[in-house]
Amino acid sequence: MKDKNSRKHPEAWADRFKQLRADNSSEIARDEFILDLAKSLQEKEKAPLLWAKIENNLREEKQSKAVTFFRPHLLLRVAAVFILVIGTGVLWQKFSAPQISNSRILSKNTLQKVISTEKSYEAAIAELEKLASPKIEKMELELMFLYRDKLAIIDEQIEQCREELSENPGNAHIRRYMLAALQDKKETLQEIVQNAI
Amino acid sequence: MQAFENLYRAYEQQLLSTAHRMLGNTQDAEDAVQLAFLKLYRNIGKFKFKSKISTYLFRILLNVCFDQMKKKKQKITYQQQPVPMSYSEKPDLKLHLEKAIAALPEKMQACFVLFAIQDLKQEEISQILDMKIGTVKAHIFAAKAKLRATFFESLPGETV
Repeated sequence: MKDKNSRKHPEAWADRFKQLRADNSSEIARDEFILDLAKSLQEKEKAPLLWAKIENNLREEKQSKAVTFFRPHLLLRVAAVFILVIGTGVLWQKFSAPQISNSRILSKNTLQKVISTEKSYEAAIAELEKLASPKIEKMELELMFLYRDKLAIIDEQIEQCREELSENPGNAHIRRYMLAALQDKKETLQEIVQNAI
Repeated sequence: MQAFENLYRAYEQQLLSTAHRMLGNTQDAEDAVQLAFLKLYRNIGKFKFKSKISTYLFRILLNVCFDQMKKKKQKITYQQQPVPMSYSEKPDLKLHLEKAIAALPEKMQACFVLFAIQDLKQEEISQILDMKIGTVKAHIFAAKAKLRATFFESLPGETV
């Protein structure tokens, strides 16, 4: 019943349609005809100026975002960021610093294992960074900033841990914190490599 | 901006074609695609990479189409539309089918367009429309039944 020519020629479509009706054909045959005809509706759409319009829209949107950031709520935003930074610092001092001296100290063997795990994370991160960097560069600005911000925060956490560990290498709490940060960084880089456009 | 352009170039045809089938004309389809990209840009921070970005984009586009359809209330019943004749005095079957598809209920129409015209898998359609896969299957089944009825029974036999 299916006629490949009917996909291109209206006369053939009409003949096939006529035949199907005359034969009192099955539902399946009629469905096939409808699906074939529907596929033929997948013609190429032409909109040569559309991307230019979209690009203009996106640029305007980007500019208006920049303007709204710097105008009405500037003081509020700056204050919020300031409070966040100070708050994070205070919390870090309050909860992290005292625990360093009080935490359980890792045994030599356990410490070796933890350091080895950290190294394997660092090696994976180094490989992933090579793959992720070009992908981040190609991302749309807003998405790129989101990822860079996230990675910068994680890097800061890792750096703080390293500073603390240089003085207290066996501190279990800081080592756990360090492993969590490394794992977070690895997962974020994997996400970029696997899913970025 | 490059990432958005890449995305546009990769899916331009499918996006325009889907919007065209949903809205019925080129101008509205272009407007819908334009708005979909603007919405994608505004909401990109909410995208969690749990699906493909194209799936997310199609979801935005179809929501834009549904909104436009509601605003314009452009759903016209199939029976109200005359079937145009081609130069040879035969009904234009493609146009006939387009109008029959346009007369389907919104969600059913979207399922059929994505499945039969855009050739997407039912699982992807369920993600785009945020429906269970069973619902997608039911919509496609019902769409085929409706189209079969309207398509094969409404055209006068003598003209074909």
